[in-house]
Amino acid sequence: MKKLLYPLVICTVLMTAQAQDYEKRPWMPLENRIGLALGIGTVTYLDKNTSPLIYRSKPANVRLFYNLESNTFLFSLDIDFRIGSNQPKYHPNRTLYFREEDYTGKTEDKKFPAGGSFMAGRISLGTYYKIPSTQESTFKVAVGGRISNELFYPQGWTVAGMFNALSFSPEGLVQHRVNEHHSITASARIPVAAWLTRPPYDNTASAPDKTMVGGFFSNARWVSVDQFLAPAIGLRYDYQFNQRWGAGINYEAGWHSITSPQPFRSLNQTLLANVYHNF
Amino acid sequence: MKTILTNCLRKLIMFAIPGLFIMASCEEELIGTEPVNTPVNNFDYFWKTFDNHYGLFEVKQIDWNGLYNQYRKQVNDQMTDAELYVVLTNLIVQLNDNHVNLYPTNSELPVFPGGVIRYENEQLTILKVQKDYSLNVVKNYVPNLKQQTEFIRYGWLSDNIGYLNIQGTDSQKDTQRALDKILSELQNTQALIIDLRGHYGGMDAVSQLVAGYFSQETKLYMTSRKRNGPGHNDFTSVNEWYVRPAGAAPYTKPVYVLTSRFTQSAGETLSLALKELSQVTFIGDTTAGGLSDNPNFEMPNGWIFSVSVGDYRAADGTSYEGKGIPPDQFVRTDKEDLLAGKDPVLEQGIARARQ
Repeated sequence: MKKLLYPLVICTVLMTAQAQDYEKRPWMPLENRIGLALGIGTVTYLDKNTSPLIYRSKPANVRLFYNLESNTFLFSLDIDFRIGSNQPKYHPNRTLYFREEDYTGKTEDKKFPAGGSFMAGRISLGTYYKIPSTQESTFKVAVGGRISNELFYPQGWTVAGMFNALSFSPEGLVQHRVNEHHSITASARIPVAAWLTRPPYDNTASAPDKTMVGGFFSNARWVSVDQFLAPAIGLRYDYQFNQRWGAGINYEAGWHSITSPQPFRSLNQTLLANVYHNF
Repeated sequence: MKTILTNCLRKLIMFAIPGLFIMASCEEELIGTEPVNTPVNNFDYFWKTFDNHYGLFEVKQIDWNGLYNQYRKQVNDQMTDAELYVVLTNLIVQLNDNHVNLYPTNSELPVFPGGVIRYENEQLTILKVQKDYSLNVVKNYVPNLKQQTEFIRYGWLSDNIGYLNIQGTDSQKDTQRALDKILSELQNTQALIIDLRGHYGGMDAVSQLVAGYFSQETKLYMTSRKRNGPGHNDFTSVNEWYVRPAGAAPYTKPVYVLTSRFTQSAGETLSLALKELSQVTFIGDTTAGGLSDNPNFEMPNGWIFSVSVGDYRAADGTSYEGKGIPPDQFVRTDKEDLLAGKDPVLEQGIARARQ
């Protein structure tokens, strides 16, 4: 992870040197922004359809993001990927032991770690309307919605924690611009409808004429907040070095509560450092 | 400049730290808690998971509540892992199910059953070592054996007889690509031997695809339904599995399928599909008798176990769970044969194919 953060640190140092060139710019101008964020996080979950054990992963996070901002609207496209090891929180070092023997009497003892890996991906597209305010105001508010597809794909000896949700979430953003360099943005969203796929009650995906992926997605169905509750909040600090470059830190937290086929709950926290380029 | 940066970071921290603290302190409320890890809780969780998910109580005429009463009283919170292991394995032996496994995460306790199990008339046998088949011995008969995928091999026997060995399931795409190639090469053989004796399972839909390469028509070969609720009769609607012609031209010449006591799971569902085809004859031993899907579950102590969640039947409604699919011609290869480099089952297949 440290290796991944080095390029960000170097970029930050280089761009700080250019900060003297910064020119005053209009508040929320028309601009494109593209950036890369790297970070760490924790994911904790309990999937009662498969296991009574609480799982915890500390995945590395990578995000590519693109924002387009006009005087009236904000658009954002985020692509997130998380990967890390995955273990039950209170049974972190389980090992399974096997003895194999063949007809000649040759035996071989094998052992395998019972833990697995955690992968998650999310692609989301948000559109927001900027509520008009005066040029002098240091606070700006935008409201809109986000369409996201989020996949939890833990791998191991069980399918605990697996789901895919294509969801629509109303979302609000509040930005406090301290001065031309510094700003803080808070956001909150909650999905109100989702095309949710979970392993079925029997925890299998096999079905006639279907691949495992096809079998898994054949369980998809529309749900609302009564079956898929997933509020998320974010807090972001941005430092604008100059008109072109900036960097920031994001803290994000989210909670999932899925009721079917049996309760699944997860808690996610992520801390990301990002650099971006405006054009 | 420095002051502003400091102030902003301070504001961020003012929000983030409480956020982290609240999240951490509320984890129990937001996620839930694990059952306390005691032998009694482990036994109850284990028993209850079968109660909620096992798909063969009716097929096997199992009185699961009666077994609870019988075994629960053997469990107490002072017992050791080894003692709990004995009770749990004694309980699942009653299911006579090759797809029910217990994987303790304890180096002193073996995986159970760790082989092919039969429990009939209160007699337990577990075949831990496969002594009725060896790929190395097969190579004495098929010296040109080629490996096409991880699980598929093929070659030519004497007298223009083809040999296809399937030991598991690859992806559908890889299977399709492999069988297109292999069967185009073997299309001019006079007969084919399909060896499933080392097929320990995989994906049923891939077995369905494989069988299609030998079928000229669409035929029902299997039905399946799976538990979808806590009641012993809570099942999904029945899925029908059809064998459908696959590949450029189905192989319709005589086919001899070799099975053993270790042919199981998707190897058995493939056997059910091939059994529906008129040109196919089965030679060897009865299969393991574990057809249903068997996902893994976990216990509060971290041990893992698998549960047969389905009720899989042949097209005529017969369940082979716990019994296995019998061959048309019974022949058994034993350890002495293998040590002598002989394979009587394969030899019988060759003899039948020559006729």
